[in-house]
Amino acid sequence: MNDENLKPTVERILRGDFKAFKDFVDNHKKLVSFIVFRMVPNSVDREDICQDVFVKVFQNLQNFQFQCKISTWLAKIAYNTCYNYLEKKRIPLFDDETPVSKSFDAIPSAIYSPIDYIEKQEQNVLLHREIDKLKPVYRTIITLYHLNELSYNEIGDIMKLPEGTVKSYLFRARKILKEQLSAKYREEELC
Amino acid sequence: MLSDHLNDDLIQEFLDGNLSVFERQQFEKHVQNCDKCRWRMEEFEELFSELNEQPEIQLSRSFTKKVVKKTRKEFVGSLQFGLMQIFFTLAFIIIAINVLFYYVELDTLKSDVQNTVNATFGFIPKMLSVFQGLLGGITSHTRYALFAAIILLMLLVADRLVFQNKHKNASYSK
Repeated sequence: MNDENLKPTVERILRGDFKAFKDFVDNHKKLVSFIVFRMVPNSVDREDICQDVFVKVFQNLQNFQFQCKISTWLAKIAYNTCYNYLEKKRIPLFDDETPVSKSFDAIPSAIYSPIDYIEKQEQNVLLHREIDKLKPVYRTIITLYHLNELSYNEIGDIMKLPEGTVKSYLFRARKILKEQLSAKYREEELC
Repeated sequence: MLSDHLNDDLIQEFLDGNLSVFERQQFEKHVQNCDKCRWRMEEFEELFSELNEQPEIQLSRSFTKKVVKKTRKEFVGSLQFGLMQIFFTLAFIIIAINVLFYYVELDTLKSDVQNTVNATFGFIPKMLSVFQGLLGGITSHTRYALFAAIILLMLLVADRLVFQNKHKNASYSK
């Protein structure tokens, strides 16, 4: 969504138009949910945290001057909200030993033939499992780059990391995923 | 032309679109002639494609409704707080003036103030008597309904004024 097109919506929200805010939430909940669901291991808290993110967005919208893309600003709020949650629960972001979420309840929305659908689902499940095994910081960067389509610079701004570090983590995360997935597929072929 | 095999980082740089035109050409030339590197690049391409196509997360049907409800509560809460601030400020000023007149002998000032108030707001008793005349013909139920409507209108105006004042500094220049 083009930020120029969002300016009238933002103005309406600031005037107290809750219908405009409802549309805004519907258009941006995908972006927020990707970040929250990847960072927060507890499935019970995820949706509440997504709601809190949007409440914070509403509270701070008057301070947003379009100095960056609105998606970057939203991602920053989502990331900071999750970071504070993890700190409260004493779950480190930059650590190997993080509880892995076993309940990533995503339902594929694409439609395939039955066999392809099952194969696609299995691939998705396998990929999710391997992503969940990554360090939280790698998971977050993978999500922000591939799902939220943010640049290295934008990710660095959100996570307060240098661009070089973001790139290095991203490349490392992908390498790990590729190796893990290749090993899994080879295992399945041997069965 | 690249003679050594491509490392994983270079493959990712290529797929992320970070290479210069010359580097891209060199890369593509190598990949055309090297099966091993082409196969590794295809593995990464497939991974990128899977990562980009992650299914949408299904939030509850009432998610947006709950967000709007939560936000409305916060918004109304802050607005009520704003009106309460105005009310208490006015009440404080009125009490302070009354205390001042009670403890300080300011007969001259008092009479001056009274004269000013009568001159400025003297039209109100006249208006009230005209209004009373008009109201004389209306039943008491209608009178109460009319007063309620006037008070509601005043609250709506106050609500608008307070809200506009809160957000008047928002600007949208890039």
